[in-house]
Amino acid sequence: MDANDYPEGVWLVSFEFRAIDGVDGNLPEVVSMVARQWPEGPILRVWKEELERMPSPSFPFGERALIVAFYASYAMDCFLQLGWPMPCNLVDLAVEFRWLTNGLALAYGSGLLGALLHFGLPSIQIQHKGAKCATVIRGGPWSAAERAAILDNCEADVVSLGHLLKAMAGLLDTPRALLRGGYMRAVSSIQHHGVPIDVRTLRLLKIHWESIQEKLIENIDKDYGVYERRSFKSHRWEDFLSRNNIPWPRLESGLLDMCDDTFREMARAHPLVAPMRELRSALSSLRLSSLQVGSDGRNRCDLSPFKARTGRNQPSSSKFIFGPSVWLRGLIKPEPGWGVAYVDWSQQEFGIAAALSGDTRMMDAYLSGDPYLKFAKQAGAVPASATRESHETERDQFKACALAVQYGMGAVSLAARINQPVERARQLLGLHRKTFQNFWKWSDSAVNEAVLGGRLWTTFGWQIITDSQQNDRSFRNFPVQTNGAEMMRIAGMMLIDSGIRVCAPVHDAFLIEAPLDKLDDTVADSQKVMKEASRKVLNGFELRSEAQTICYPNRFVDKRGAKMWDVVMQLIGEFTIDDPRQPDVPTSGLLPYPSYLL
Amino acid sequence: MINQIRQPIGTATDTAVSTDFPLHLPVQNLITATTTLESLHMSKTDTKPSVFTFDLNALRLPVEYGVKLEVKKILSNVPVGRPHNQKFFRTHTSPSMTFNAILLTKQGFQERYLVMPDIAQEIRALVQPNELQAAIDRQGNIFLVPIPLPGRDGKRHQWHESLAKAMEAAKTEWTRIEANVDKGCYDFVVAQGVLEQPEWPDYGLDELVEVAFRGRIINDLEHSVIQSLMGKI
Repeated sequence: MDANDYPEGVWLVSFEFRAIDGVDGNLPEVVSMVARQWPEGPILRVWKEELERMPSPSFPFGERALIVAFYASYAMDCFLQLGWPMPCNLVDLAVEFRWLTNGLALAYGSGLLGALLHFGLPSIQIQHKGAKCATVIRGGPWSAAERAAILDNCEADVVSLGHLLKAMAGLLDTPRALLRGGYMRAVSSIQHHGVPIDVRTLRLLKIHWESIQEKLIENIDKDYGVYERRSFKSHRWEDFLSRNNIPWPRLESGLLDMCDDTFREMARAHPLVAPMRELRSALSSLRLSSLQVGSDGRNRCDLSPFKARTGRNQPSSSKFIFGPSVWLRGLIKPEPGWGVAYVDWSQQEFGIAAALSGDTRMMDAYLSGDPYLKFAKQAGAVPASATRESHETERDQFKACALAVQYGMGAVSLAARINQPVERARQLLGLHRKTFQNFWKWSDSAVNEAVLGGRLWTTFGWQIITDSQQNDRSFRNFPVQTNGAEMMRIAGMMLIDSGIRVCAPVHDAFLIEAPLDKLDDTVADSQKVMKEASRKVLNGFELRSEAQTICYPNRFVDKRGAKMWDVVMQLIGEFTIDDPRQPDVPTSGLLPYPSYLL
Repeated sequence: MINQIRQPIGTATDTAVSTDFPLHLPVQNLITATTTLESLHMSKTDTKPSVFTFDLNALRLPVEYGVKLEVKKILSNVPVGRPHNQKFFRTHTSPSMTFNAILLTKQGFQERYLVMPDIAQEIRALVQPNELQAAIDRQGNIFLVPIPLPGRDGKRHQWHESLAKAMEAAKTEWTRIEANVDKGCYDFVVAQGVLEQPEWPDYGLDELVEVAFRGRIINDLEHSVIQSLMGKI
């Protein structure tokens, strides 16, 4: 990075803030800001009332200046809350430190303190922040001494940031660091909007959750018979699997693999397993109190951009509405007069693999509209005239195979997934190699690059430092996942800069929001933007997208969790039957008379 | 309201700035000669920051992994033997991919040795002339199939004759062989599906033979295998 590129200076910025009224999920109450022109300019300290009167930052933020922050999405949250225009050029040293060290084991973590220690920089100023942070979180009024301490705290961050920038300036890939900074602006806008939540139903859920759980077991388990009171019995589950001819992965010890990932995988392959997976997940890990919903009924949490090695967002699974069990997504409900839409790329990972590997057969398969059926045709497993209806089983197997390859799954796991002998899984995997030879050459090259070159990268420069600790499956998976993340970032920025309200990014999808009379147009615009983003990442290759729209008063339905949602809502209805505030028992609408309801 | 511009913490002037800073000075009063708020505001632009200002095409990096590393897969093993009865295979159509060779098979170990002609003269009873044909399975694995040549009378064993026919068929069809013990020959089946043509790796027969018989070439009567078969060790 060359400071001379910015005639109006490089500015270091840090804020102290808390959630308004101390309620997690609320927008930030900005408490203080400290800024400084790098490297040795005077320090600007501003307290909250003055900040609230300022129409814009008291330092340059246009094209001729560069703003540098650590966790810039927080700083941008404060910009938005203060009604300030966003800076043109933004670099987030937290993201850049992550970029620089991604894949390495960091002795001191990836926070500001960890970054300072990594470069051997002075860190004493920020080593004792805990008590001062608590003062901010406690809320006002603050005494003069407390204000001074808070500002000192903020200033310590800025001074440390200056040291860090000096150490990192020569290591930055500035053009792409600025692009990542642009994404932090977008993340902040997304966090600002949040996801609309049906707070009334959430309140009822919280009130009755304890009582619901036993009823829930009673309702769902009557088709399975695996619970003894609130205890899940493995041997009964084994009997159930045997009765229903469902093969189940086992541990080396021979016992059934009962981890949640396995349940999730098996629920995809065997719909019969899905309600039990939802039940187990709800009973074991659902912490409704952790879901961050602000006083305005919006779910907001730190999206933790770039936290995953792939560069994907990694928000807390208990705070983010898309984190816990899928049935809970039924709480997403647009406000009166509004609608939301879930817009996701179709077969995104398959399309990315096809385009980046330059495998023309794979690209043809994607462009056919049904890559899995086309794959089966290309492999000679079904006739050219085959349709989804005429060859459903074969298509499902080839689909499972294509997905298995993307996740580095072996023949044994694939066999379990498709409920077929291992030999059939081997055949399918062999056909994939045979049919998409250029993809496999590219995938092999990624492994060679990782092993010999020591790093892998994406089209827009996200990287991972590779070492022997990682396995070749993760090397093969990295290009697809990380370029998927790039696509999400580019699209996220484009959506925000096109004026579209994005409520949340969700793996390969966005939840957007618009007034009902503009919803259809907004969805169409979003799909155009997502197509454009795919072209940018894939060098001209376009990916399709699909949209599910939900108009008030309807609610979001994820069909994987619809049964569970209906059961829970039915139970809530029973618990509140004598309550004058009886709820409207919001069902998913998918299953009007589910057989397992009381 | 607390506004202050001062030297940073940790500098020489830091001792005077713990808590006794001015609390009521407006920002404008705190601007230094070199940094005035007005000048800063004047320098701001109305340009809205946008991803559309980035030249994404210029920022895009190629993801051609391994190109600079020039990694080449090494042919490390070329099996020699009959095709497995569960594998479909094809044989090369080019005459340059067949090779007449004298082989010695060490029974019990199914190890085949390539014997130099002058040595073969000395141990005729132990060796057999074969035609080696390059073959490939559907996974792209290449191997050499030895087909015993007819004897001096021009006849050959029924097993060998049927194997030769299967190898001929495999030049144009994906073929699989099965031993038919009752008939004393190989049956062979050809794939009925529309299957892809084999993709032969870029190796000549010399390279295949070299890899296939690495460490198993007999060019000396003192070779330990010969010594062993002649009961000398």
